[in-house]
Amino acid sequence: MSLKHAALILAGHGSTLNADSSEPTYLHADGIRKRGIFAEVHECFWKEEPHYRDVLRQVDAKVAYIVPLFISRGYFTEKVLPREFEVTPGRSILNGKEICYCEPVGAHPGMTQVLLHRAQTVLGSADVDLSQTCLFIAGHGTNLNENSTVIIYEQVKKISEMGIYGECRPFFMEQKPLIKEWMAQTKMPNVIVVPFFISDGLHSYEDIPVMLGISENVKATGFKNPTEVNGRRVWYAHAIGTEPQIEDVILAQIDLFHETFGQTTVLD
Amino acid sequence: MKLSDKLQSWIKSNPAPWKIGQLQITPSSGKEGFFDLFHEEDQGRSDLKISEDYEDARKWVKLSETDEYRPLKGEKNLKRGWKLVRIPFNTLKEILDIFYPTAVANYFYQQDKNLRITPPRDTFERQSGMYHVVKKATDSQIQTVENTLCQKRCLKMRLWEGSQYQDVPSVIPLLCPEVCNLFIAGVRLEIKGNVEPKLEE
Repeated sequence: MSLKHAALILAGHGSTLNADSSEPTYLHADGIRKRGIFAEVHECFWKEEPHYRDVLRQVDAKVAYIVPLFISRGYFTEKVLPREFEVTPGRSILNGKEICYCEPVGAHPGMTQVLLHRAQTVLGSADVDLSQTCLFIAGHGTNLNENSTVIIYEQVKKISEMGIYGECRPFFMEQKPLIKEWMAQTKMPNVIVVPFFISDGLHSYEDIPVMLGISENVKATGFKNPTEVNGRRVWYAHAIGTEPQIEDVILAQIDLFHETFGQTTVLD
Repeated sequence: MKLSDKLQSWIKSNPAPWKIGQLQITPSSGKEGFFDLFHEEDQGRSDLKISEDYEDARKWVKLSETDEYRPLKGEKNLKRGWKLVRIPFNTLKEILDIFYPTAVANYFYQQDKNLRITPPRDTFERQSGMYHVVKKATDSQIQTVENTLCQKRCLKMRLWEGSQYQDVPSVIPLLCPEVCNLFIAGVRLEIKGNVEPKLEE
């Protein structure tokens, strides 16, 4: 269906400390803006401006789709965003506008293809026997992120069943299986790590490479792909949320919204 | 009426130059319907970095003159030394939204008497998680944050504490109808004794 009459509102978390945290939100909003699918595309944040609470005032369109750029369902997508936007799951009518609140990006089944693409991209043209390769999907893994842990396990199961890689495994920063103990978790000579995070922030860009042993200090010395660690080759990818294919997942969440809640009702 | 139509009508009925926050907007010379934007203190400078690409605005609003991160867009530290030129009207509102998110919308909502103003206690009352504690804020703690964050750093007019604004010709005011997340985080820190939170929930 045409979305030419509608607005897309991409809701990220943002940060008051890290200037790069909101980059994926701007990146994907710009990418979708350039496609000319929507009448308007707006970014908004919890910790930056425009805030969730305010952004709808910027919208002229009568129909707006809110897509949370979050890695999983949870506290933010189920409590904070609906409260601040004053919407419920599905459709809400606010000041004469129809607001369609979609599921978060990370929860869409299409994330499997995005993970596989990111893993393939980080390998580049390297000559690698995938049957001798372990793809690790990295998460934070605390109670706060319980749902993202569940999603990672689901993705690992799906990718394992595809049989593309010798192994596909989950590991986490703060719960078992721990990232820093990765060498005990696989015997494969090749290892690809894709962080299941939205942005290349403190955790995914600075902490995890140190836990993997591919850098002592990312800010000071960086890391290269691949890095040899105890005779094994390790490739480390950027956070999954920075992958340009996320744009398609955002649009796919809107399709899924229509499948779940039907087509737009106010204007049609 | 669309916000961009309201902005166009406002521009027609207010003489140039126009002002919003620390930005000054002038008509582009010799090109009707196009605009130049620059820091108000850079007027007359001939050594400015010139750009026609409005996406450069994103870079300029992100960091201050001293390269400090600016999560508070109303902060009085907008970077200087640049000039956006020959901006067509159809992207002007988008650019103003980059420099001062929701400022244009807030102004026209206020003009139409549709801008909802929320008292801080109401904002605190709906907080949860690590910000749940702000419900217990004392008047003195709120005042401290207002002094250190709003008065010291932010250009916005605090409608939530009862400020009334006088419409000034050719100026779009920065209106603040509700305390922001930085304010809430500041009140939480006051209550917690200024210990930095580990997580940015």
